[in-house]
Amino acid sequence: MRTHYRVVIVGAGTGGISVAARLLREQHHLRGEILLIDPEMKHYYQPLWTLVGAGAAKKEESEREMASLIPSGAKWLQDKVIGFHSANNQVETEHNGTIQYDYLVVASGIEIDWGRIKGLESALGTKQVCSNYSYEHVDYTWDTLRGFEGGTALFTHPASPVKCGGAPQKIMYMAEDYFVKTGVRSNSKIVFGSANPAIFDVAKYREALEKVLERKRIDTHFRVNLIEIKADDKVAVFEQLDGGETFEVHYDMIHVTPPMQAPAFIRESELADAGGWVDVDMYTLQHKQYKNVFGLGDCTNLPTSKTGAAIRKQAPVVAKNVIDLMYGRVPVASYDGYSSCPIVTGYNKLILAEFDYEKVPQESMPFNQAKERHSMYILKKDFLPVMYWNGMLKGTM
Amino acid sequence: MNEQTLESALTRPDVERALVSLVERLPEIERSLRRLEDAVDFGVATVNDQQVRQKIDTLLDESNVQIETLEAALKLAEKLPMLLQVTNQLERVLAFAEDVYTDEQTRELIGQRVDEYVSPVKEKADATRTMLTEIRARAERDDRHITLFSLVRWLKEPSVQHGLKYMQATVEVLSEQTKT
Repeated sequence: MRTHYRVVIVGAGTGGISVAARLLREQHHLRGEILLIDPEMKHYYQPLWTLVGAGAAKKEESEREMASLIPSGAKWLQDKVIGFHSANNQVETEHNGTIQYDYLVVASGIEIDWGRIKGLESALGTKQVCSNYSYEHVDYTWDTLRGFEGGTALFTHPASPVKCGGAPQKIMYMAEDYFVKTGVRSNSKIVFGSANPAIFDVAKYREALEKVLERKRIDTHFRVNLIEIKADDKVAVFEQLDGGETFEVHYDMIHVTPPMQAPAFIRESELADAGGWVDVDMYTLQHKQYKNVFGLGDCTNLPTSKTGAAIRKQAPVVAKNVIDLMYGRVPVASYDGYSSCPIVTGYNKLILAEFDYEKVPQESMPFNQAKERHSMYILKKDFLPVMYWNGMLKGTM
Repeated sequence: MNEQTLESALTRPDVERALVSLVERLPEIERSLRRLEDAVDFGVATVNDQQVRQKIDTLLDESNVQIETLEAALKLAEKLPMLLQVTNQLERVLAFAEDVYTDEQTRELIGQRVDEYVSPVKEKADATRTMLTEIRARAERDDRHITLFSLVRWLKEPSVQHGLKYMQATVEVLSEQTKT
């Protein structure tokens, strides 16, 4: 088996495939010189799962065979990376030994730590404990919403970075809308328990979302973290993040956003910062210590929201800087922290939040995106998946 | 560079290796220089040849290349960076469109979405058509005379009442606006 490639990309998710496609579009001589390493057979368009959990899309639409998405000219090694030897320009795989690289791109995504919430793993998918963060269980969210006959519907946001920070509240807004349609809203209470200090980081969208919360009469508890689920008793145990006291909330259904972290093989490597994330320059996305290593996406320590939209802006920067480095030029392409969150606020409404490192709105549309709009909902539901599969993963968008 | 510095530089292994390599390549460098010299001589001789110059003048006179053509070429060259950007964007758009067109799963997805939007409209249109057909059929079948009593009975129909209330409200609003 070949053991040296000019570019090795760890992770064939959104970031890895986008960068590979862009490198190949720009530099045809790299055909056969790019290796993507990823153990998964399937690739998921996870932004759709909010709609799947609310019964507005089919989960099968979010899944494709990994082999069908690997860009022509790149090779795919179906294996797990278990370590890095960055001083020797090597990655270590579980079954195929070490692979040598000239340039390394780390885009391995984020890992869900279901076990950090006591009682969650065993209860998930049963007893009205649901979560949109798993392809296997996302249907159960819809089953739970359909079966809800009133009482307390509890939604949580953990005390860790998460992929798409808006997703925990999106499913809550859709659930509320659904309960209104089915007539159970009047005898139910909706509660949001979030580790964050406010509903959203960016002032403009925070103000808009606070109005949504008020209109929908949602009870919010900020700076609280779910630590245990007693599924048989339908009780959720939270801890106060400012003080440490714990308290219990009875629920009739609970949607859990699980805690997340960088994958272990990154956390325990020399590429990680103190928090376990790939330690890259926030503008050039080049590793702070190993100059032939770049990182993008959820596994990095970039101080912005971890979203696919952010990766759409990071991928061209990484591709350009890798090419510049190959030709002996100083990498100067720069990422401004752009991220976007299409916050679904009902079955046909959406606030399209777009912002940068400074939390300043960077809106693409010629109108106020803080307003709930049907057009933006159509954009998310019908257009963004096509843009993803056929534009972003092909290196053209 | 003083003598001592030159001496220390010459004793450096990398400089020594470079000098040896240079000396080894001297015959090749000499041959290249001769070829360059020949090419320059040929160029000078060609430019000085009266017959060649006349031929070039004739060619230019008889061609469509005018001074405007050269000016346009220069202006076009100035715009090349912008044109390259536009071409790149166009290339990306075409690549995206081609990928959408050739991707069976995406075509299937678009088809489903179009159905989702079209189906309710189609169902509504079908229902309206069925209703109109039924109305027409009943009207054609009905040979009763419409009497004043029938009209009074209609007035009790909720749908007629609803329509009349709208008419009443419209008359009131129009009347108020006319007064102001």
